[in-house]
This record gives sequence, structure tokens and C-alpha cells, in this order.
Amino acid sequence: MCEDFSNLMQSEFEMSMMGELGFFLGLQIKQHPNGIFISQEKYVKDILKKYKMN
Amino acid sequence: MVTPMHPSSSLDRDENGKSISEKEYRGMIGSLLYLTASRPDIVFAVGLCARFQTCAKESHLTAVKRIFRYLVGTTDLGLWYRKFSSFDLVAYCDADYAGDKVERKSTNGTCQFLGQALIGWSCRKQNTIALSTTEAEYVSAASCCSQVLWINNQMEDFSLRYTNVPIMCDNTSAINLSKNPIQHSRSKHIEIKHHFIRDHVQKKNIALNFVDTNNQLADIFTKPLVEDRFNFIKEKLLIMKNPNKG
Repeated sequence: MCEDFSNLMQSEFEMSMMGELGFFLGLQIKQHPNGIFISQEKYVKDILKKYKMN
Repeated sequence: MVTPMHPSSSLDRDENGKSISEKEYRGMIGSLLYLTASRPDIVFAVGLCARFQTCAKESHLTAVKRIFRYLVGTTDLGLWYRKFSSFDLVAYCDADYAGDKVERKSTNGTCQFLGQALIGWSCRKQNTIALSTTEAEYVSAASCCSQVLWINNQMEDFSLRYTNVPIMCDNTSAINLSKNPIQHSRSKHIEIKHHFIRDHVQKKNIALNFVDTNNQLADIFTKPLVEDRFNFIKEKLLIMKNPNKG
């Protein structure tokens, strides 16, 4: 079903299939069989470094 | 730091305090606001500090730095959306009466769940000054109601229809006020816009239900909490480390 959808989207729009989503607008997304985990761990580390709080 | 804000702290304008670089303060607030996308645990603290962006003083900067120090120990927290069968829509609303020390306005805190998954939350200073805790809670319930109606509309796209969506409130007077269309002297002054909740209770779109204060999960969005309470709610909101990692 996912493949059909991917093909359908690619035939209609100029886009390509890039595999599973890992990063989206700075959010880290991890998909597991038992659920989905959303975090901003990398962003937190970046801002802590930016404001020299680490 | 185990919580982002000291439980007994209350920020005010601190007019006699030492001024600090407004640019840096605004930058910090901006960075933290973006982080609230996946960290509802800091929403209240960041929101409160953000109110003092003009004329920021040293005391405000200290509060912001505490949030950062809290983050140092909790970098790997995030939202966990566990796979489960229940898809019930439940909302919580709470208010902190006259929580704002500057204008004596109350603070709204609301959150919405699908099953156990946290899908929406908000923390906002109310626009009107409430004269009683009941009024503060009632206003917060109305704001939660509008959010629920929006979610309801969105869910219709997935052929999911909800009726009598429970909005959990810890104030019985506010609940009664939503059911009873009679005007009392103590509630006559409440702005008409807040009464739209009655309409939706009557139409059976939502239902205002009672929840005891201990299980009021929107508490975390209305005031700084002590460690135990803070961690209890955090766990309920499924703000945690990735359970699939070590």
C-alpha cells in the first residue's frame, strides 16, 4: 500500500522517495514496532552549546 | 536541576533589578520556544519568562538559566506515542487563579489526548481578569472547548466522530455553570464569549467532567510544581526517554 502511494505521488508530483523519515523541521523521529518517539535531542545540545550552558 | 522553575518562585517586573542585554534574552527565549514543540514540560516556565522580554532584568535571566540547567540533565526526553488500540479523545483544563503577578490575570492550562497520546497542549495568560477561581476555570474550559472542537473537525477527515468529548475540570462550580443556563449574581459579569461552552454542552459536543486535583494533568501548564508532582504528570503525559533505547 505504501509503495502504491509512493508511486502515485511520484507520478503526480516532482518528488522522490527518500526512505524513512528521521528528521523533520529539527524534530527527530524514531519509528518502532511499538510506537513512535519524537524528540529534539540534537537541538537541545545545539542551544546549550550556543549559550555556553553545557 | 530537576524542574525547570523553582516551585515557590514568582516573577514580576522587578523594576529595581539590574537590566541585562535584551538581545541575548530574546535570543534565549526564542531558542527555548522552538524547543517546546516536543517538550511540554518546559512550556509554562518558558512562557512565563517570555512575558518579560521588554525590560528584562537579572532575575528573569536567572530564571531562564535555570531552564537551561534543567535541560542539561534532560536532553534526551521526548514524546512517546505508544501503539495502542484506544482512540478516545479526552481533554484536561486547569487554571491558576491570579497567577500573573503583574496584572493579576489568571493562567490557562489545557491539554488533549487521543488514547494516551498527548496531541495538544497550551499555556496562556487569560485575556480577562477573573474574579473567582470558578471564573478562571470556566474561562480555561471554554478555551479548551474550542481546541477540542477543532480537533473534532480534523478527526472527521479520518471518519472519526466524537460526541460528549470529556473535558476534565477540577472545579465543580465551573462544571455546574456549564450545565446551568441561569445567571447568578456571582457569574453575571462573565463575558458572553466564554459562555459558548454551554452551547456545546447542550449540543452534546463536549461534556465537562470532574477530575480530582491529583489527577488534573493540565496542572503542569499553569504553575511551577514541586519535583514529585512534576515527575508524576510528566510520566502521565508520556514525556520520557526513548523506551526502546538501552
